[in-house]
Amino acid sequence: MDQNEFVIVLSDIHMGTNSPTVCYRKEVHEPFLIAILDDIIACANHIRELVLLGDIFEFWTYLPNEVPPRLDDIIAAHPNVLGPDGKLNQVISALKGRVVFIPGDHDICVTEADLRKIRNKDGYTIKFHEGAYIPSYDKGILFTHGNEFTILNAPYYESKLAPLPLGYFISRAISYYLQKEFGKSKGQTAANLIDNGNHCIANFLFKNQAFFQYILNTPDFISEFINVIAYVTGMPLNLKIQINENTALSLNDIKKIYNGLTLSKQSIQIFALITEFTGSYLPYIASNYVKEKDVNLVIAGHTHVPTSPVSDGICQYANTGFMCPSIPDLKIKPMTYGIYQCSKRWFKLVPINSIHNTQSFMKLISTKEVTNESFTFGWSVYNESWEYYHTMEEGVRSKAKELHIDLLTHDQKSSASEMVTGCINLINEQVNALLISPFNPKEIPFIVANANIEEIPVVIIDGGTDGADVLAFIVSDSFAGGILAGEYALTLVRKYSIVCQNAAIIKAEKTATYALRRGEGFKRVMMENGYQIISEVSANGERSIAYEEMKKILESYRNNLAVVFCENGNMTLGAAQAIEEAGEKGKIMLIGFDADSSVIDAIKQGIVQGTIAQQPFKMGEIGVETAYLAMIGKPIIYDDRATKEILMEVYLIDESGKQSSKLR
Amino acid sequence: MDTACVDQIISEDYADFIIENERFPESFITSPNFCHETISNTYSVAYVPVTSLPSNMIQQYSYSIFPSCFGLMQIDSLDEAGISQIQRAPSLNLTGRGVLIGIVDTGIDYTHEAFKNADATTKIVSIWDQTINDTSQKPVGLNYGAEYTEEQINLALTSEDPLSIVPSMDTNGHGTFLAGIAAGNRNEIRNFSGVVPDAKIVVVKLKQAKRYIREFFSIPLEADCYQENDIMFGIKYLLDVSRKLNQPISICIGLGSSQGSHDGRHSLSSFISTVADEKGVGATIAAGNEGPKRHHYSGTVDAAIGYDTVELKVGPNNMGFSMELWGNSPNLFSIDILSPTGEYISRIPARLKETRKIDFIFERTIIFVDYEIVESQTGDQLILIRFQNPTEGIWRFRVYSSITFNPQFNVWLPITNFLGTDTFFTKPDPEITLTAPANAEIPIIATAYNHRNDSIYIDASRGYTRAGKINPTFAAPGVNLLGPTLNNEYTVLSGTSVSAAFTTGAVAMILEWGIRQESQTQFDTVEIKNYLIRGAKRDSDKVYPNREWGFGILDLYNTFISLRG
Repeated sequence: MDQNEFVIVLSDIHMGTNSPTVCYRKEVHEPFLIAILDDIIACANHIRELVLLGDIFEFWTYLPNEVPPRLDDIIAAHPNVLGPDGKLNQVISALKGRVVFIPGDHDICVTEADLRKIRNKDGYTIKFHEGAYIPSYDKGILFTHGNEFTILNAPYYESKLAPLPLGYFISRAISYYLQKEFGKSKGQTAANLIDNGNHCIANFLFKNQAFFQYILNTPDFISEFINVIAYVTGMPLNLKIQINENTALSLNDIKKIYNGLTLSKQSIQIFALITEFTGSYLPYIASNYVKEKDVNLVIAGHTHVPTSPVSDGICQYANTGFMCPSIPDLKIKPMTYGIYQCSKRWFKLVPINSIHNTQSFMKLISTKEVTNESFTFGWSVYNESWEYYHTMEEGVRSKAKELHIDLLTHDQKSSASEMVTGCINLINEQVNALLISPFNPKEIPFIVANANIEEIPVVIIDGGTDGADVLAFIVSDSFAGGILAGEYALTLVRKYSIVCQNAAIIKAEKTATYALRRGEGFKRVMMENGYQIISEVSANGERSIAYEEMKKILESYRNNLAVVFCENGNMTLGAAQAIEEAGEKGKIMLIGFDADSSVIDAIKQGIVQGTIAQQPFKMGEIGVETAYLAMIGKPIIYDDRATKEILMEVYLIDESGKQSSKLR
Repeated sequence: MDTACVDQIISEDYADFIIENERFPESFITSPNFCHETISNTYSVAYVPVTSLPSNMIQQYSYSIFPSCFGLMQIDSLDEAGISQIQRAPSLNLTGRGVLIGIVDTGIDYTHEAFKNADATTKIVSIWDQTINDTSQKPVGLNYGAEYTEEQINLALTSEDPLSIVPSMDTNGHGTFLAGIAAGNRNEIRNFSGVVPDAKIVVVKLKQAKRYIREFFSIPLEADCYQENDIMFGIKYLLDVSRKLNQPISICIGLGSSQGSHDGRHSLSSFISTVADEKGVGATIAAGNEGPKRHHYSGTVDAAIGYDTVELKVGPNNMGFSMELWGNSPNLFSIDILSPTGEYISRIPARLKETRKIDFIFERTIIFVDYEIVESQTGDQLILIRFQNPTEGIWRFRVYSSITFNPQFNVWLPITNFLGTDTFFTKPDPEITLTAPANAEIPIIATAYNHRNDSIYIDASRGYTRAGKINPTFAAPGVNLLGPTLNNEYTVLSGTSVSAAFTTGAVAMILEWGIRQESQTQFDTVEIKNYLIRGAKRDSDKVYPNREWGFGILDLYNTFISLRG
């Protein structure tokens, strides 16, 4: 497996001081956080980057009369995590500095210089990135805390308090309210409140669309809005809020400072105001970035609503959730964080229900790493009783045995419906990979879609994929086979001193993409050597049509034809019959494709001069090997990456009926 | 694990690999007695037991970590008729004082009069002889060979038996000749003078390539052949000396190889480019002597036909050789093979990572084929074809590409030193035949011409690089030059290594000019190169730059006119 395959995303930890109104409680949340950080250290070699996606620190939810902490105070309050020997510093060292911090709203004031205060003994620093972050290693993913499209929590630059948004004062007011609530029973903190962690202010009014409609229609929106906040929190409008040691402002003062925050009546902004507290905010963020940047996966935090990736058809979006649920909430709303796999580009949420439940993370990281794990592959064969497929199955079995892979097998018995039900059954058996030699390639996309849901890779051996998103498609090198047929044709005409320079090709049906390449290869060689292709006719792959078509060709070219090439075995036999009946056996060279025993017999009788043989055994082997490579995370080399084709060599059976590599 | 590689470096039982950024494959690290040595910030050399190497090495480790093998870019000249002395630029009074000439080659005959001062002391600052293993003489920071200082050489020169004191010899004469052309003493009787006779000389004598790598690439065991990593260590040594003495250095590389991507991304080429960009360092490289040798084929797969046909004539009694096909990305190339006796190997798919061994049934030939779809240094595709005992006659390859996005490819056979002249392509392309490291971006690439009649040297390699970069830089005298050889004699040689040595002297003059300025300018190769290009002589009938002459003919006088202006 490639190193540095994973990106870990932590957001909304809300580490502050020990004030009761802060939702992150050291005694409750720290063991979880440390367990996660330990995991990161253990898997450091596989981690490309740790993204700290905002609201890592809490500077907002403090009582009005409290002077909010500085980062130094927060570091001092959490030595186990933030101290010089703290876990975060160990992570930074383990990742050799591959850590990036994106400020959210509650830590909007953190600067690049502040981050240096988290002193790392090995000299690494946390990288600081303001605003949406598109990493250099993947231009399709965007990380953002997600506050930037909100009205209340986006940075506000039009005041002397910039970039502090109005939301800051709402948080302070809510803290005032909470303190009154705590006062009712002793020792209460934010960690005891049901549903507190789920966005601290959501409880109050923001889910209420009618409320906003009302407010928005008032002439002095900001003033009215702050009045409502004061009313619902019970906080007096003239009570001073300490911004720092030197500055204190009341809600009344705030009205003036934020009066620039007028809402234009453009619906999009109203929508933005409301959506932050409804499920529609995340798609709103995503759609904004898709317009602006060329990304297709947006990861946000902020709302404390964990969301697994959802696609709106253009873009996927996900939310990392949060890491400071209250004690009563822990079971139903676990702490969550995100993990992103760079090469496969999946994003998953990892819930932490207890500190002992972090294996899911390790498992996600290490799934593709274990090589001695035993795999079970499903194998669905076209028709096991046919010689060609039987040989292919022997190849599958042989390689599976060699690689200690268990096989669940299924025989399609030349039936399309049997093929589908059999393959779906194998998918339901949770095989690690599914190998199919399909009777009907048209059903492959359906089967692959089902397998993909279970993340089971599918390898198709021969037949076709009908464009499905398979892991690999193993198929004979038909073009090279045609070239080889042409080369052998040239050898034969030399040997038998045939002077005429006409050749004919009897082709397979129009839908037989791969068989048709055989005639192409043959044609190129013959034309390069001065031959004329006097007929290129389709016999639909069938013996009887080939017989009729050959007869027609002979009517015109009976005495003026050097070579005939047929794109499959059946047509070869049909053409052979026509040539023999016309008394031209051995005078017109006939070369076929496929080496069924009937074709070999025809060669031995002298009515066919050679054929190109496929290697079903090796195709079976390569099918298993390819799926295995994917299991252990090794790269697969395709001959055509677009179609996932892996070509298998073909070989010549000459006029003696034996394999030969000799052309002259 | 991290102990010094004292034994491994010189042992034939260990294979050398050039690794970037210390990213050693896991299997190296776990192999017994694995060790590594650092060349630069980017490159190190890993030493791994030969017995631990898998048969599909290219697939496991990528071609780029294999050291390429280099030969000497000179040919004995039989034509003594037209010998003439080197024309030193008149009245410049730049003789190389305070500047070092650095030669990485076959060593030097330090007893030759050309390298002795009037008081019989040596002009040589030091010799690092990689072939002598005397642990008491190892240079600082290098774990093999023996270093002989100016004092030791002076002592040797006063001795009856100099070799008993400094046992380093040049048994070939090439290194002695190059050092002489650049900085040999004037000899009025023989009408000879080096370009900068007052420069001091630093010499690295390379050790011969190890047996395993010769066998891997089928290079004749008797051919003079040097490994890429030993050359890199040699350059590192020259730099160390230059820094220690705080004197600028003009380095001459008269070696070449047709291995590699021919686009300057080879390890040695990249390394020299980095070195040449340093202040106080001039680097000159021989363009190569492969132009008309029919060892290069270029083609484009015609989408309408589906393939391009390459014909290779293999001469009699060929023991083997390797051939490299480099295809432009993102095309995906594959080949088929038809032997002279008509044995046909159908198109070989890219498929899995394996080294294909093809045993020909009707002849003794064995061919190994490796595809590296995305070669790790260039991103382009490499098909490496190694022949053992190839049958004499015409071998035919068809080259296919499954993607047709300007599917161009180039095929190179080894340099003439390793292959001879009777194995060649029937439809060769004389262009893009610069040998590595002459495809490097920064250094001066010297091709050779006959300064008596202003004709290009007949064997000179031609540009540009595979990436289209304009090399060679210019031509310098390189045909029938007189210079010192073994046994205190003089001889006549031709080749681009000779013109490179001449240019090395010219570069030293500019370095000297730089330090003589009041502001003590330390030039780097880029600046020097541009001065020399500016001053180059150009024929009004020709269009410049061009693939044979680069930007023209080295013209020192004109260069200094422009410098002073």
